[in-house]
Amino acid sequence: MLEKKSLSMNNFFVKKTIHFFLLVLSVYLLSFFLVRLIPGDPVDILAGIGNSSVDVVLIKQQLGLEQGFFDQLKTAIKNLVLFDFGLSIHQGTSVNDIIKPALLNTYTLAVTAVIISILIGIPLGLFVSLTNKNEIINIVKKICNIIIAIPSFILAPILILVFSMQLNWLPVSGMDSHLSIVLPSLTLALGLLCYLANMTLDCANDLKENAIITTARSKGLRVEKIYFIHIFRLISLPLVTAIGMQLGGLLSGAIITEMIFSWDGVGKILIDSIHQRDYPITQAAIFFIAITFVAINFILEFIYRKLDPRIR
Amino acid sequence: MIQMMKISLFFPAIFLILVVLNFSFNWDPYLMNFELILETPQWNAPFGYDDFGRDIFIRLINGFVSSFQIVILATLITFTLGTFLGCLAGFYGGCLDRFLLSVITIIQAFPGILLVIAVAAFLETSFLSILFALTVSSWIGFARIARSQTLSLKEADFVKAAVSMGSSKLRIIKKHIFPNILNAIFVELNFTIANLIIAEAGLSFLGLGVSAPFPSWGSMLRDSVDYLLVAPHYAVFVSFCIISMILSFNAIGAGLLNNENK
Repeated sequence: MLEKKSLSMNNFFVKKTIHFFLLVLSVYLLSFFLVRLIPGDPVDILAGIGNSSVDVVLIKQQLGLEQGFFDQLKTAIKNLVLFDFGLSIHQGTSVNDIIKPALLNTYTLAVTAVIISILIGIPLGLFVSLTNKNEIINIVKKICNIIIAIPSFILAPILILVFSMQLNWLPVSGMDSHLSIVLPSLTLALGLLCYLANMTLDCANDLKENAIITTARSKGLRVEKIYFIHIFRLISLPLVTAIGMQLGGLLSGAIITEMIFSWDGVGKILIDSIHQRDYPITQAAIFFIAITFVAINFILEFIYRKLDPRIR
Repeated sequence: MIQMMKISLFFPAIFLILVVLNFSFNWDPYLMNFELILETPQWNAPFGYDDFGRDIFIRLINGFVSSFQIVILATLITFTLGTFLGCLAGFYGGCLDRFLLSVITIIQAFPGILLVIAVAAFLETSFLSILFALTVSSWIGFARIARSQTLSLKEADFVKAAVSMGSSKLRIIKKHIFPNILNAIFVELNFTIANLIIAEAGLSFLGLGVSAPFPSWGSMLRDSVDYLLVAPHYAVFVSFCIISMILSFNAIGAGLLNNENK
């Protein structure tokens, strides 16, 4: 029996891993061949008006466009295996060197946002559910629903207006002080925070009548203890799924948030490179953002399996 | 919920009336008054003036027209394409279904508006390219709903009866399946419109949307952020319009969903 169980886990692991790598490959190819969408000859656009033939040849070599389609495909896959994304057209340095620090900055921002929303969102939901007052629960849920719907490019100006300009507590933009991470991460976190609070509230309300809670009560446990131990464990499962689903919005929100707060992350590099028509960087940035999202969901699936004894 | 839905129909309706007024009175969104730059709201300009001394109220109405042309067109295309492909894949199954599912998985690997940005980045900014970028990433919502609904309807008795009477597959999809999944699709329709408004505004906010003198909500918001300190009313009114529209369509969707689940 035991062997069979571990086998199924291994099978699941192998299947999911193959699935993951196939997805990485197709996302890579898609982001790589998006360059073909450029109407006309991309090289002419890149080299600008009055280009010399040397420029054209150089750029063609850099983008690998002088080869046939299948040769390009081969080079593209080889480059993926070697993790080599070519050179930046404008700065001449390796794309890897530009993307790596930017990715670190974006991850710092995103992780801070997730931590803020988990630390505030879940307790908020539990506390509001503890009050047992329908009016308060309804008001909190309505406010949360409104905040979830507000996109980050509206949330950011509002936060700047309140915290930087009226109250003068936090820097408007840049990455100079430790405090400058607060506003961008808060912009990203608010949506997820409200989503988690809302979900916690719903789940906790549903669980109130559950047999587990009744048993815990009959044992004489304090209500707060029941909430923060029993209910928290029970709702951790749907919350993991929810975080996975909402991370997509968080990552794409990071692109705009980084632009507004001039935070040197992948999103800012992506948009800057689009305006400068630096295609190797654009491709790599799109690829890395998508891969981050896919990888997190891949990991969350395992966490979900570990957490839920029913499907283990 | 139904009450919320009725209230939320109010905002799009007001904007439609304003658009009609705009066209009948020929208000000019490009008229610049240099002595009125960034003036606060007053009697003949209820939302004040922007950084070129243009009336924000009139520009917002014109921005509504240009943004919604794209959003409504994109919605119609994605609605038709997504529903059709979803129904076909769900009903025929097999290879077609697997292919559609893998396409959906790949597109879903790009979080949020990343794919829209990616497609728009490599095209020259024009009405058609923005439309294309929005369409590519948002048809999968309809396709997923249509597919899952078709899969469950496939086993229904009336579909089996139609099959046994020898109706062709396309006829069954058209006459029996499509009318029955329409409810679920309408719910999705409203969420898609809300998401498309966000995506379109986001694109023009990043400078990848409709270009400069042309009014659009996203680019107006970007301009207003530059003047946040001196003229907060600019940002406030533009954000209010975008938020009210998004919340309206979300609420209509939620209301329909609630109605259906009853």
